Amino acid sequence: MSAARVAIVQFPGVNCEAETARALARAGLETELVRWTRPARDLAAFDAYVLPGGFSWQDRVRAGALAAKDPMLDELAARADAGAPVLGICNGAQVLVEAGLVPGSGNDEPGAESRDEVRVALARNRMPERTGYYTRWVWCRVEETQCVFTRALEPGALLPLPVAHGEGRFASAKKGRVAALAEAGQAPLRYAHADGALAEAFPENPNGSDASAAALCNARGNVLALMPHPERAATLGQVSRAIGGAWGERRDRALAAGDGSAFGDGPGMAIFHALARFFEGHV
Amino acid sequence: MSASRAAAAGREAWTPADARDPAAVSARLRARGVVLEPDEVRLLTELLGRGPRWAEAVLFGILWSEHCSYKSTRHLLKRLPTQAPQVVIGPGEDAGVVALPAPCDDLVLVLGHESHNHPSQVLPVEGAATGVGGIVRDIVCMGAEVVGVLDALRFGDPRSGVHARDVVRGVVEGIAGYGNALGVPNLGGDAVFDAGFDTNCLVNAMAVGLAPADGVLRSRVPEGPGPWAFVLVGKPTDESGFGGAAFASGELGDPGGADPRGAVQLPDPFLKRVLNAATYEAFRVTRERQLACGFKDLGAGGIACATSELAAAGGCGAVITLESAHRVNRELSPEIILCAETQERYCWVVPESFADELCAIYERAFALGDVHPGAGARVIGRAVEEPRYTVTWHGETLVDCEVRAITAGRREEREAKPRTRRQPPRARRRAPDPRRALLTMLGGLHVGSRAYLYRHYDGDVQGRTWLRAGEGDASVLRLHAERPTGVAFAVGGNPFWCDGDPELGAAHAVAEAARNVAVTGARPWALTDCLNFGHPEDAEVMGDLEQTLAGLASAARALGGLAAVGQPLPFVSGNVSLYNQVGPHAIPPSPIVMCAGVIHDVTRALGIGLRGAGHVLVLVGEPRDGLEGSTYAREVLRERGGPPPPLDLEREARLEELAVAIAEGGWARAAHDVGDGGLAVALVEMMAGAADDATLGAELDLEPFEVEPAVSLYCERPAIVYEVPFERLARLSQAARDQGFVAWPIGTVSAQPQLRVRMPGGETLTWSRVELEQAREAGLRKLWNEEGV
Repeated sequence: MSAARVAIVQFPGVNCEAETARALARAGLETELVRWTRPARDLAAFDAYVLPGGFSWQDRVRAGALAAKDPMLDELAARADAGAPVLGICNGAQVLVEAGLVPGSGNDEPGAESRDEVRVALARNRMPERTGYYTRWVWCRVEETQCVFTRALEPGALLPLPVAHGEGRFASAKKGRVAALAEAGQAPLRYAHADGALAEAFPENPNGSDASAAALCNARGNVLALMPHPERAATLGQVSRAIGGAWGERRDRALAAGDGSAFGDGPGMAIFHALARFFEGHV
Repeated sequence: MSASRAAAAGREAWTPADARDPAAVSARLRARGVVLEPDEVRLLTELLGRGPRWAEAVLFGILWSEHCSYKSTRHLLKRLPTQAPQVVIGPGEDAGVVALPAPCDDLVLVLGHESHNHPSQVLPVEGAATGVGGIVRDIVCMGAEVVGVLDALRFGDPRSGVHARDVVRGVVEGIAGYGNALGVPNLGGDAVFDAGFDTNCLVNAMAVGLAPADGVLRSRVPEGPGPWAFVLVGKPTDESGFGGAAFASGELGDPGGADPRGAVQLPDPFLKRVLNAATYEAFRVTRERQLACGFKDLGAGGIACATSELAAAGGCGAVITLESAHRVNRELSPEIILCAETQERYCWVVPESFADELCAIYERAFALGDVHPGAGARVIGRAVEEPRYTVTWHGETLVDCEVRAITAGRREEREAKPRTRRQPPRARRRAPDPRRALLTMLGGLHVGSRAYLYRHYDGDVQGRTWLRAGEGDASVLRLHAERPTGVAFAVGGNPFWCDGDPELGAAHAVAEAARNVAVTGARPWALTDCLNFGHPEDAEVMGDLEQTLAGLASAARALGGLAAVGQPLPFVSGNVSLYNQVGPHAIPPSPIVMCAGVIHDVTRALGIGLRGAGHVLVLVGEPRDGLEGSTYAREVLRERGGPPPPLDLEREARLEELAVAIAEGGWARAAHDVGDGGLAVALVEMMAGAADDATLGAELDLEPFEVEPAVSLYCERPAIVYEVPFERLARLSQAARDQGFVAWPIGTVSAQPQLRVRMPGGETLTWSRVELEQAREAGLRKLWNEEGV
């Protein structure tokens, strides 16, 4: 059995491709960087796709808006329709949402005209007494879901992950739409407090996201738009020292032991291991 | 391009006969935006043996500016120690290079430090952004990938007016906008607010990179017959930043000058990110093929300085055909194309046979032209054996001189005299309320939390970050995903102390940066610095500068032992920024020092945040015996001026050695330098660094100090607070004794979220964690949110 091949899709301005590749390799996946200068059809040869973070096309118009119109996204939509896993991290999530892959056609409103109509958007952060870009380690609670990237995790489990963005607020013109998606199991990770209670207010909900959504997926669960950065939390010892809870205890114990266990998997690896496990059943 | 334009650039700027009245020539040049002193007019005429062409006058005006030539300080900088066994390349190149220990001995660390003070005062967002952009290019042009940036900021008092406040917000926006988009983690730095910087803010940008030990590139035409081609890559040349070096070498608001905003460069981090990615690919290909190359970034003086210096450093000449350079699609005069400081450009020197392939990396694999209209790569010239530097424009000669004229260098003798210092005001005999005193200090801008500021910055991108800004006394990166080795970075430089005593203040700057690195467990490995001062024509400014160099040198000589026994801690890169002055008031003497450290195992890196109730708090260091130079004296007692606390460098070296031993031994759970605000503020910061769900506090007993409470709480002499599990206490105390220190148990970590201090005599003072946090967060939040004046 050959390892599944993951395309790391890079538009100009994307800047998290190296650490994303490292995290995927750590999970045993084979990766190849596919730059924007390659023909879109090259994507057909891969088993899964990751769109890393950054500032594709300089966030012109809106974060992710230009990349969403790239022919590569048509190819990705076709592969997603065929069931291939697609993960967008931060700017990659913005691209998937702008392209309509998330929440996807499975959730057409009655009367919605096409998949191109943007029903959910990643809007500018809403934060009291500050504007713009914001970075912080936050808690993400795993929800009951069919999402390929989280379904192996126990619902209610908490993952500490860093966020770093200016436009990360899942929002919709129609009130309650994001909450309805969450209700339908399409918000696999939601911002929480260290004790597991959902975080509604800043800073634990770092951007004012509706329904505390940190991520949204399509109905089938194979396309995930994830605002936090799991690739930056690949190692246990690098979990921010501001983080407590079970992960904090694990980190402090490993650091105090001084036996190298702090180089073990960090919370972000759960997402990449899930992708590897998906292929253990499929490839 | 019209012939008349070319003719202007190629026409004689003055004749040898004119040069007999050099002052008149100098004045005439200045009116045209070219700055050459009268003696430089004479010197250039002699060097060329004829009257220079306009393009040559522009070029030498830039080469001999203070900004590029260091003519007032170069000879003085020799006083700093720059040699140690770990140094691969010391000062002189765009950035310094140091070796790393096994198992990372296949890598080298590249360190650079720049100032972008004048531009940031005039256009804060663009000025600060291009400051980051410039230092990043300095790292890349050594053949390295950039893995971190830091920034040391000195701002005016925001109460002084709206502009001071707008400078703060703009500078932070500029740094964030550039670094975040470039994808380089921000590893912290520092920020100080003082009215002394009202008219001249300081923006010092530092960057660090990693290169293969055998892959370091030099900024010179390689040895051998070549033939060598000069390849210009990046943004199309435009007129932006033309005259930037002259701008940085004079006083802001000089009434004779034009609007200086045109001299500030325009940042484009988006293009730079793609340009750097393409450059890293070019590094990979040239290494794989073992091609000799030279590489340099384009900064002050643009194409002219970069190409002439590449040739000069290679001991050969060059012929540049300027019309081959890609540029914006509008008419520009040739001297502007030659000397503009357009950002996001590099110059390669490669074998001619490889030039097309190199261009294809930039133009096809990375399609720079799609990213920015007109960006790309072009062959613009070739190296020649004869040491002559020639620039032509459609066949007409614009520059033609011996390379030795370019490297001649300039030296300006400046008078220096010690400054007469005001006597510090006598301490007032009154006893402020000790409880309110701490909240007053925390609520001020000097020791308040920096979180509001650094949460604008991406500290985690690239995935190497191990300790972030605010988590440790130094930020720590893990160098390699399969190795335990890390590097740590911290900055130092207290302008209040340097104002009180430049020599002692400068020594403290080195000690503070090195100590912060050591407290996390890393061995101080190398230093960079920037000397930010006023007018060099002012003898007292030069006196301050000479004393500063003495202080930096003595501290560096004392503190290198943890990298190599008996060796100094070497300065490997640096920068001098003069003319930070408007009218008679220079900024306070402001040496800013970065220390890089090496930690053998990042899992031993100590953070500042408290970890567990019941642990013992231990103080190690100099005695708490005075309030000289303290934040308490300035902000609570309202005393300004006066010298910093004393510094015993021999003991400082042993304290840092002890700090590394404690971290490497795993005897402590947290550690924090006692810095601004003294022991009380250090404990508050340790509480703030605790895990988010922990309800930890500190219990402190002042009885053993045997001094008045304000002194034990707020003295700023060097010391470190450790959080120690009881069972490790004996081991740590023994290690301290071995180095001649006493490890004072001063309290415990409690399960109550409060700071409780038992005063001598038994009274207790208590602050809740919530009230301490509210006070710490207030200052910067207000600065960003208040409107109007």
